[in-house]
Amino acid sequence: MEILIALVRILIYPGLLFVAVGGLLLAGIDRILVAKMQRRVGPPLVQPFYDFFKLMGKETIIPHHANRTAYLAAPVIAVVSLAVTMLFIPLGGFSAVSGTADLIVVLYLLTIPAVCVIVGGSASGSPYAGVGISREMVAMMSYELPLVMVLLAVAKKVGSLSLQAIVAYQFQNGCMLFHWSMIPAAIALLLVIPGEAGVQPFDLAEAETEICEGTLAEYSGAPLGMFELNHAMKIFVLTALFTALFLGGIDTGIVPLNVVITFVICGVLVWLCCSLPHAICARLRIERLFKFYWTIVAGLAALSLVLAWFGL
Amino acid sequence: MSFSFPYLKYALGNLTKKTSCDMYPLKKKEVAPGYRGAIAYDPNKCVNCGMCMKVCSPGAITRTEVEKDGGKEITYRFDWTSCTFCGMCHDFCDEKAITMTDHYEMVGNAEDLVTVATYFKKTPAGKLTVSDDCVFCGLCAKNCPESAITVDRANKSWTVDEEKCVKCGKCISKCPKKALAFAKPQVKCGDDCVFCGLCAKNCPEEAITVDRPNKSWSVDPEKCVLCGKCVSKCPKKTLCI
Amino acid sequence: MFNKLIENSTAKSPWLYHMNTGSCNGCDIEIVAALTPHFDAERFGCKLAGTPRHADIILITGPVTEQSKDRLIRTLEQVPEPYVVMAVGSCPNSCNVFKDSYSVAGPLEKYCHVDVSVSGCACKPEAIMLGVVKATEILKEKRRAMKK
Repeated sequence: MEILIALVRILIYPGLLFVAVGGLLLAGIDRILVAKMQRRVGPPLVQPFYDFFKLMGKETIIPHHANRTAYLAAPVIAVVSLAVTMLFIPLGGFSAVSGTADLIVVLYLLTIPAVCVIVGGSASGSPYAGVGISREMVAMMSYELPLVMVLLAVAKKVGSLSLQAIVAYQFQNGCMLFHWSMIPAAIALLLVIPGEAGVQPFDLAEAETEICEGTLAEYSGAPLGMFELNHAMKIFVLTALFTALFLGGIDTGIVPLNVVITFVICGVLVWLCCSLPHAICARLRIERLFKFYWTIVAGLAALSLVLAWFGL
Repeated sequence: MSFSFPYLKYALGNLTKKTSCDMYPLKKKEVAPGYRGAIAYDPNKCVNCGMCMKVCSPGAITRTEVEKDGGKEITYRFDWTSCTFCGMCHDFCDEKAITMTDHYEMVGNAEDLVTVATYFKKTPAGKLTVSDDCVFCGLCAKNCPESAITVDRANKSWTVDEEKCVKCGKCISKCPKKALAFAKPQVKCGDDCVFCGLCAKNCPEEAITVDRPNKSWSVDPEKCVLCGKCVSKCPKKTLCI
Repeated sequence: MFNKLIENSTAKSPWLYHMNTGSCNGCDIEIVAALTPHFDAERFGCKLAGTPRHADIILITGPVTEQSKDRLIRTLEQVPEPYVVMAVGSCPNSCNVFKDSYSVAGPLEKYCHVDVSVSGCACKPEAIMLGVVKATEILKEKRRAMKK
């Protein structure tokens, strides 16, 4: 029975299926909102589903120079790691797995998709992917530092590395977003989300107009579909993480209603940190991205960390 | 590092505005006046001068001529996939048989994207002539409804009265030696000619030469396609086929 | 059922790859215009892909020049099945005014099967969109034929 429950949690809720469907819906919302802001009609809400299923039905080409195993395994590992991440994040006050230091586990799991993109890109043996992975590595380095500092600031404020404890703290003392010392950290995380998810101003690794989709240049068919899914799931996981860290104190007493409210908040966050930058910004150069994350965003996160250190 | 977001206010404002999209396949769209779309061709107006083919730079217009009794079956084919839609054929068509429509939805297989039309052009009959095969049997004279032919067996002479001949072709079909035929008609200039040169200017094949100082008018029957443009352009109405 | 789902999705998510084989840029501009807010080809799920590996519909503009001939063949070989080749403008269909030029190796039919032809010089964005809608139907049929 315990195994069955564990399986349901991993595969259906809040694991693979839930994250996949939620993520693809959020990606659809993102595309519609971008279209709205550009005065277009935009694709239907379920467009990411169409894209995903279409790619499942397409021929998968494996290049001669590619390392077959790494090339095919990378997208699967990325999707699995994101599904596992969701198990740790409390949705509506409930998380499937909880430990004493799950913030650190989440931090490690969140780097795996980016590493998978790098591994898959280098396994494909394309020079475009080579340029793409060098950019992805720099981008990863840029946003990892502020992300770690944000998580540390929140952990210092609560005094625990457990996400469950952070949410419990917010139930008692109100949402983290309403503590003035945590506002810079919240803004920093909002700015990290588009970088981590790789949306428009920060999508240097997959710049389709300059380096032919970069890391994904050689991917086609089902593995490409997995990467599309990976992108959508990442948006959901990151916005859910933001909700858990800074808006965890919302509780109606009913878990499903909490989940729905969380999802709505995720939608608003997607608009704020994915659609809006996409609609108004052009793609950054790689050194500007690096500078931006290590000065402004890291500065905001450090401010919160220092304030939390002094117990404010 | 400096940041400015000039499009932020537009992006936020557009959230509440109506879309600027045309919703094209659902709503048909009117084209701007003067738009040159697919070619329409009226075979009833065409005189087969071939000017359109000459001015077409991509060679999108092709003509096929099939000889049939008493004339030609002429097919003009306008290939949209080859056309530059410059409108030159329309401009040069004196009879306005070619027009540019506003049809722009030219989508499909390449074979379907054409305008094709066929018409039958009767060859105007010229003078009745006889070849050396004639045996002076007199069958032609006997069958002529207008008694225009006179055959003298004894003197081996054959004459036709052009005033009486109606070019019915009965004699040709009755001739046992197939010696009779209508000659290829020619453009003729009457006495009223003022040598203005309009006919030469309008000839698509440049078959007519007019020399004003020497008051001479000549036509090259090899080049002439008998389109009749010169006849319609003649101000003195002195040309005829 | 899963098959049917993929089939329907194939028709609703055409990703375009645009290839210029010596075009004068007239039709290229019109393709970009078809993606602008005024026409918005994204309503049909269209997306401009950066590599032929992601493409469903290959938009080819320009008469195939000697220089681009090999690149065209190599690009078309890299597209995963099922895919549709769409000739945009008069040039790929017939070489237009460049017919019999020393540097032109076209038309496109010599090198691949053209599924949809859009004519015009340059063609209107509406015509391109109509062509894409037609191409999605062919795409669906090709997917069905692939499964059999």
